[in-house]
Amino acid sequence: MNSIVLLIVLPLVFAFLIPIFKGLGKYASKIVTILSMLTGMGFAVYFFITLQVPVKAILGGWKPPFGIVLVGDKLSLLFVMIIYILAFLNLFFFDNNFKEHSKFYTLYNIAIAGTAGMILTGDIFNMFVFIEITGIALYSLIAYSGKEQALKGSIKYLIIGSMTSLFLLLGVTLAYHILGSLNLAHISSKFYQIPNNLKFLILSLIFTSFFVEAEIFPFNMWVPNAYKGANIPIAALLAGIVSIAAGYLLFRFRYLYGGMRSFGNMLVWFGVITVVIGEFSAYFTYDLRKILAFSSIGQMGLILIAAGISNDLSVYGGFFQILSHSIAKMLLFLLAGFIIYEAGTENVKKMGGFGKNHPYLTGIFLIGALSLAGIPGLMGFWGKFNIVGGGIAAGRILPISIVLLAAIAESVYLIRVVFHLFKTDEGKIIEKKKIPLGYLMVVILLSLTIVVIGVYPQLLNQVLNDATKIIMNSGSYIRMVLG
Amino acid sequence: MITFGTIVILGILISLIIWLFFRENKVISWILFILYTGFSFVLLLRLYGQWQYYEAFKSIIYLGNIKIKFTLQNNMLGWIFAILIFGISFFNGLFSLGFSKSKYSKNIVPLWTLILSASILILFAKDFILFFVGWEYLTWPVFFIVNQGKKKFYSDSMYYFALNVLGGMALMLGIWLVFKNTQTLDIKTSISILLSHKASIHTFWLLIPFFIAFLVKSAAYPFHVWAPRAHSSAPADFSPFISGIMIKFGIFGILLFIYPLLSKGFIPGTYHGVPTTAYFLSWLGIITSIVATVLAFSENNMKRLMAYSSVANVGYILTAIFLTTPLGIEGGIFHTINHMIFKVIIFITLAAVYFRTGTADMSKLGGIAYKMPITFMTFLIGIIAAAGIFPMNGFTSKWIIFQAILEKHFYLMAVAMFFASTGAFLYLYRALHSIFLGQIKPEHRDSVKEVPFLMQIPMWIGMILIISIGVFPGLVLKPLIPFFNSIGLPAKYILTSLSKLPGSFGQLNTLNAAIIFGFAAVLVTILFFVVAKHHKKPFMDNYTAGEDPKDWGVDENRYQFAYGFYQPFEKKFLPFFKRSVDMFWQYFGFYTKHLGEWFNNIFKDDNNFGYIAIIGIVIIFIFGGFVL
Repeated sequence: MNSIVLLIVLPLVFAFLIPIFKGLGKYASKIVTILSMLTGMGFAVYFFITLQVPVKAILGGWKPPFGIVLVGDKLSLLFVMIIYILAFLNLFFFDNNFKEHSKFYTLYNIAIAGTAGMILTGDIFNMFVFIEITGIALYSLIAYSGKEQALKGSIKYLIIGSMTSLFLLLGVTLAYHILGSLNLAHISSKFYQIPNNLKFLILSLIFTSFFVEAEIFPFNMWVPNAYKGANIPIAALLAGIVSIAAGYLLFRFRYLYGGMRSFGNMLVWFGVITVVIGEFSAYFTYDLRKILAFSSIGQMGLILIAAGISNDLSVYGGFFQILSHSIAKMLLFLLAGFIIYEAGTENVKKMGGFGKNHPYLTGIFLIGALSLAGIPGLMGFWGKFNIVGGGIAAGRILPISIVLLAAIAESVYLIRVVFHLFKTDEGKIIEKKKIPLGYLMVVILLSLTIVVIGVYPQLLNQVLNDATKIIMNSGSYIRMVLG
Repeated sequence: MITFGTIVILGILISLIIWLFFRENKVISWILFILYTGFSFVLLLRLYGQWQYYEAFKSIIYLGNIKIKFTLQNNMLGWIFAILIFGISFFNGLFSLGFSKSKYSKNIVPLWTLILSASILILFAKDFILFFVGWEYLTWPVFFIVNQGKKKFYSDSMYYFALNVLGGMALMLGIWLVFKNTQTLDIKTSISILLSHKASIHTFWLLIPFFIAFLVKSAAYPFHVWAPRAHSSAPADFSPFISGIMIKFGIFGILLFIYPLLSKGFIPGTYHGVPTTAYFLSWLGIITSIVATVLAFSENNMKRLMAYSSVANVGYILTAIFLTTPLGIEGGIFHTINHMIFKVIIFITLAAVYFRTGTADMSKLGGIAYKMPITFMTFLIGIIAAAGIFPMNGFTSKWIIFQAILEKHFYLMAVAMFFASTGAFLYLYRALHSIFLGQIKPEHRDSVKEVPFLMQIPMWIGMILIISIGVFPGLVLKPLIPFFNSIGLPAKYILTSLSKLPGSFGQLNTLNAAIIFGFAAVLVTILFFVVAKHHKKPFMDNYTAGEDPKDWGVDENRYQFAYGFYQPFEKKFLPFFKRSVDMFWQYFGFYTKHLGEWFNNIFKDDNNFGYIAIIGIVIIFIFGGFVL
């Protein structure tokens, strides 16, 4: 079934159609993008539902391990599906600083194509190409708002991104030089032949690039600037969609580092440092967007820890965490757009009165915040709970304890935002503004997802268990791709 | 009939309905609250005796390879807590319905209902996950209730929230540590598996997270700092719930999980037949009560004072429970129940005072006993019970606790506890005097009157309960006999009649004592009317004992003892007790913030640390690859 290529090609085609259609009207390119995301979503859902056995798309007629291969199994198709759904919902953003222009939508489509490609591809050089495509689209998208912070973020991202993609290329070349292959399945089937220190080197070089996308310290210098300056949909895109792809890659490469405890340890400690720095930085700041940015860093650190531990429980929890984080963070960024617009400030302390104007919207914000903080009954709980469980089952009690201490800071700053939104004795009265209907629907839909899955995690049980089995069992993947 | 499921789901639904539709209408929301608690109370009442009853969720949850079927299992301990929680909330709701007419009332029903439905999960959970779910829902709703969206209450509520999140995280860690050792998340099964392991000193580490979680919730030393803050900031009609019920969940957790392990020698080492760890924790209870008692001396805010009193009582309960003797458990549980009743009553009277006067500062009150006689009577009976004087219920349980301590011959402990218990007199009677006796404030002379009958109902019920349990302790202890049998309480400690208090030195017949007491009371009353010369004086004709108030720099209108009453005593003790722990937590928050600032600086624009770090790390990788 070669048709899974469509998931990458469709947005690319639409991206290059946009310049043609842009003359038709102000919203023509937006409508084209919505159409593109809808078709992509339709295909992704169709492929995911009808998927019986894993499929591979062999490009150019070169059979793996020689040619490029796209792999669609339960895991990758699930993630691509969620990327398309979120990318579609993200288009109903609310941002008063946003200027409609066809450039934005072209880049948006390219970024989505890139992330989908990162997930679907089974070839590490191809993965490098998709990371570059996504990166280039994102550099320009972050700078799109034209604010000083955005430009700074974009430049920093560009520097770090291109630096690390060089390292990635170096790692890929090393692997190719030693094993003579670029196919992930082929490499992982032969990876045991390489001496341990070289393994470690190759993996570290490859992972530097993942760390940039996954916002891992110290590869995340760009994050606060980018989230602060970029338009709301871009911040949501970074937090909600790119993080899915980055998290996916961290887990998918378990095929290579699965048996190496030293590399797992390194990932865990990088994750711990990231969590601590992210959470405490967010605890210090009162800037709503920066809080969300630092919170993203913290959450991604937790995902990295799950990848480093990589036993059944933690992989399962890690997937839960990836999904719950991206949904909750996208929800919070979408809400932040309206809150900042109505309050006229990004300082959390000056937002008092918003809760009085829009109690239900603030209630939805509370749901998102509590989900991030890992309160039971919401989606975020299951991720965090399982990662902690996996970590302790693997005997890593010290890192997990540090993470839990940082999680206290996380709960505090998240609930603090809600408090400042709800507080009534500010004296300042914020003018009430009208909420766009489409935006409201999207926000309600996202929050309902968080609650429903949080109360009834069985909905995802089967899917994520399958996904965990795929990650834990590299043999079946190798047989599927090469066989 | 599905009892637990109904209560939980109904609670969540009512909470949602009230929040969505009746947020502004306090009367309707309180009526819904009363109906909910009353209905749940009746449902729960039917479950007495059916200890095998359970409710299981239909579907199975997978966590990785772990399969869990959520089950709510009826049990004696949970049942008695649940009955008290819903009963107390019912009467508290009646009070709040009247209270809702005042401007001090806040609409807290949705969150409160949510807490009540979560409490069912804690009390009847068969596995740790459901327990944890309920536990977390005790934390964040209370944050919003306590601060009421007001900036001035923010830091107080944050003390509560941050410490309780610490407890929650510790609990999560503990649950998984237990899972690692037992491969099960079922509470009862994990206890039996843990006990079948060979006891070693390492098992101590396993329990530390649970200690933190439960001691934070029950506001024991050194986590007591949240209690006075949360009580004083919370709406007046919610403080009874915090003191009466919230902090008891910590006790429940200890009884549920820690006591069965400690009493069966889970951690090696004993001291006079008591596990060493438990012995030290007993002392922690004593320290808690002494610290709280000393801190209560200096309090001017009546709600903070009573909060410290609650902390002190938690100290007695912890001491009793950690003796790990059956008699200690009996005393601990009995005192938990008694404290629930009398402290709720005390806080309700304080709320009534607040309802009429609008202040919680004792130095601004005084002399309202004649204006609010029922409230005064209730408060008086409440503090007599709190001080542990016969014939109120506080006496009976303290009696058993002392018996339990003396049974083990821990005389120093008994003396220390007696010190704390006597200290309670000092601050409780000061509160009584400052609020209700002495000279009335001019502005209260005409405006203050008794609260409406609706708000008096809980007071009447409370008075009856306090006295009747004091005289007939069997009213509480007899229904608990199945539980005491299950923990192996010897037959000589089990009540044979309604009014015979068990003890290690023989029984005390409370009924006989009450008859003598009543006889004496009647005699004194007769003597008072027949013999003594007394005549009524106008209220402002006060008792300056011939002194001119102006000589003392006091206004004629203000002749108040409340402020700085125990000043010499405070000067001796307070610096040590208050500064040490409060300062610790303050500095903790302060340095956390600084840590945040430090990390934040890494991300500043002119900071090149990130790039250098990246290049450094990669160079280390490259060279490290060859060196390794």
